[in-house]
Amino acid sequence: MGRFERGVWLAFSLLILAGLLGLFGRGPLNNVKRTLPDGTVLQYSRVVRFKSPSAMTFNLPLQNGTATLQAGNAVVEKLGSQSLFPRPSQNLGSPQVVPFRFQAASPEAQSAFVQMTIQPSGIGPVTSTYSINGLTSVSIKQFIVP
Amino acid sequence: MATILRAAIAYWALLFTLRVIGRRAVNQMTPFEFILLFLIGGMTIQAIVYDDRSLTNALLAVVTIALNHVLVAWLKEKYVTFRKLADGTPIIIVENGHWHRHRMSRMRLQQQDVMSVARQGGIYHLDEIATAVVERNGAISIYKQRDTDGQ
Repeated sequence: MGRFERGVWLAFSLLILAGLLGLFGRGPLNNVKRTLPDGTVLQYSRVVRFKSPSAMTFNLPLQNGTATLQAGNAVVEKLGSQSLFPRPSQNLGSPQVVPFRFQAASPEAQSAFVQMTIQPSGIGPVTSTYSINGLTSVSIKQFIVP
Repeated sequence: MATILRAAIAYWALLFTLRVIGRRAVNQMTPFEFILLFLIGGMTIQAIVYDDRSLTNALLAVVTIALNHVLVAWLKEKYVTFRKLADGTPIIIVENGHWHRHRMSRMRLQQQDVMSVARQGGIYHLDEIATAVVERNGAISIYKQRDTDGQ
């Protein structure tokens, strides 16, 4: 086996190792879990793939039985948000931001679990911003691979 | 990660599925057998790619399959038992003009398949065949009576 072939197989092996770890998305090192000072828990992927579905979850603290999640336009334009689960009780849409209001599932509920499905339509780094209950703001940096 | 695991599982599953389906060289396949291969391939692709149609996903699947193929080649070279399992061994199906019917039945091989190959080599009667062998790649080698050159 020549030096070139050995080099290619080594590169392939490293590629697969990186893939198994999730460095190209969809793996253990790819998942991020962040807890914000107001108690919001976010889960998302560091690396997402072009035109492939990926999920982001938000555990939003409730205020008077409702929670508001406001997403910057990068979420729609670059990350290609496809759906929200559960469906928001109110969509307070505007050209620059996409705010949604969620009702508590039960009177005793402390938080609202929201899952957003995205399907990125660009390639490269993307920063999306979210505002929770109009009080907490968070930026999420992700990278879209081809 | 899931794509890599799915591609590796699919590779090994296909390796042994095609092994037990039966040996048949490409030039001896019927049109239906060709379609069957494409059908198996198409269904496997769907399972490997799943909902991810990105280039990254495709590259990871291709490289996984390539690495598995090299691994299988290495295992065949290193372990004789593995080589026999993966490829089988050459099997004699005709000796001195007599069929080994049990072996042929085990390989789901018809007499017509053997005679078809024999006719391509200018042999028209069973009596003219000294030995017919199904090779590891599924090709049938025919040796004429008092003839050591395979055809």
